Amino acid sequence: MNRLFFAFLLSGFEFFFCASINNASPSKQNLRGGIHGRIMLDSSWSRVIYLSLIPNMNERFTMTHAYIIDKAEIDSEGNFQFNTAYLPKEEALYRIHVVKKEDPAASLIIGGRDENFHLLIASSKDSIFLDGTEGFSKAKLLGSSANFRMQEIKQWVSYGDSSTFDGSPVKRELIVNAIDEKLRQLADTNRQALVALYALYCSDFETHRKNNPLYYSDFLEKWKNEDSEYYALFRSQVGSSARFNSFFWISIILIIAALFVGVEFGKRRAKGPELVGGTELLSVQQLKIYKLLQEGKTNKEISEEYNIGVNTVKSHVSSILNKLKLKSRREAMDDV
Amino acid sequence: MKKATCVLVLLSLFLHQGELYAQNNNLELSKYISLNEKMTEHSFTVDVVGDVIQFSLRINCDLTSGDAVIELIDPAGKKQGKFSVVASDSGSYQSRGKLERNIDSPINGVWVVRIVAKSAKGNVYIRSQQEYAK
Repeated sequence: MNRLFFAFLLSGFEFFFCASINNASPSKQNLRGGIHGRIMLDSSWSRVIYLSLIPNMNERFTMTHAYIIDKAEIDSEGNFQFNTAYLPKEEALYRIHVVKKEDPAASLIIGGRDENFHLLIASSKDSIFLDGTEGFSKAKLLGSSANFRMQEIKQWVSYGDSSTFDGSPVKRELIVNAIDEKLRQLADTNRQALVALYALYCSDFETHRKNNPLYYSDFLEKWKNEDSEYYALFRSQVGSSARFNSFFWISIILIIAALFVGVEFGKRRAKGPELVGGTELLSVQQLKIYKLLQEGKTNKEISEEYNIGVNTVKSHVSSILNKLKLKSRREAMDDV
Repeated sequence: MKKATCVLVLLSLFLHQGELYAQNNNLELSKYISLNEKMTEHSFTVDVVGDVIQFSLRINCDLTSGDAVIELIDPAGKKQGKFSVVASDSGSYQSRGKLERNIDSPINGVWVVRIVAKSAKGNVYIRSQQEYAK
């Protein structure tokens, strides 16, 4: 029943989101280079758009003037363009944002109708178009498959956060869990390093990794050649934890094994000759003779010691060797 | 009689302008926190109780220097939102961050807005609203 419910939920998301994203016709794309676009803003917004370089995924919701690397004017028709020839060749995470007239340039609005930013992946060779003709917060990023996925992820997360569905907290939790699972699936299957990482950061990975360290060690193994700052931070956050988990369990197993071996060894040492046969099988007289045997005394010496006949001693010795499963008197001496 | 009237008027004025404001099945709470360089951590809690249809929260953080991390944590201990604001060291650039969350049928219990500031000068304004079934 639960599987059916989740399958229904996920297929619903697929249909809803793919339909809405695909409405953005590629023919609308402006194929100039760099990051450019067309946005419609009301009079409460300033006519400037900012571009920030986000150094790591943890900082995607950090607003500081230090991250802003460029700004561009938005003309009367809503057009803007950033020249991105100076950007690094490697893909990186960027943020474009607009601000209200009364707000400082370094302003971030998260959630609500006035959400003022979009995260995107870009490099110096990319051409990305922002279609914001239906409003900035509803804008679509066109021109690269990475940003298509970024928008898809954003819509999934927004759906989980949105207030547009009715239901109990339990239903909300189920939906959020389904979205988290979807994000992990995308991270697992996507071939674009930053998109995969972004999907994981959007999921509740901090909770999930505690019970599923293998998922994260597999993920890091898959992207072991990624040497960007984004992955370096993720490795430090998750990799150490995954390694710690493996190391922890291996250590526990080794300690238990060592304790077991130690206890067994101790028991055997304490039992001494019982390793061979068991001294509890011997009578009091035989035990006395056995001790003299261990000292290397002859039958005659033993007979004199206990004032018994040599034949009696021979009989006892034979019996002792049988009970203790010893082949010779020499073995009895070696058991000391 | 005069004293009683005076007390009632003062009480109504206090309730109207204070932190707690209830009207038409809505319960509003607001808090203004002034950040100074000494303050490092502050929490604002909202107790969500009963049949709440929607819980809305607006957090606005303005800094002229230093930095602040603001988190929204639900009663289950799960982070429901997080953002940071970092102002320039020289104080020449102001930074602003806003978080807006509207949550249908929220989990009952204590919701916490946690602010961790470092050498921060500025302010945080938090406003919450709980809408109850009529």
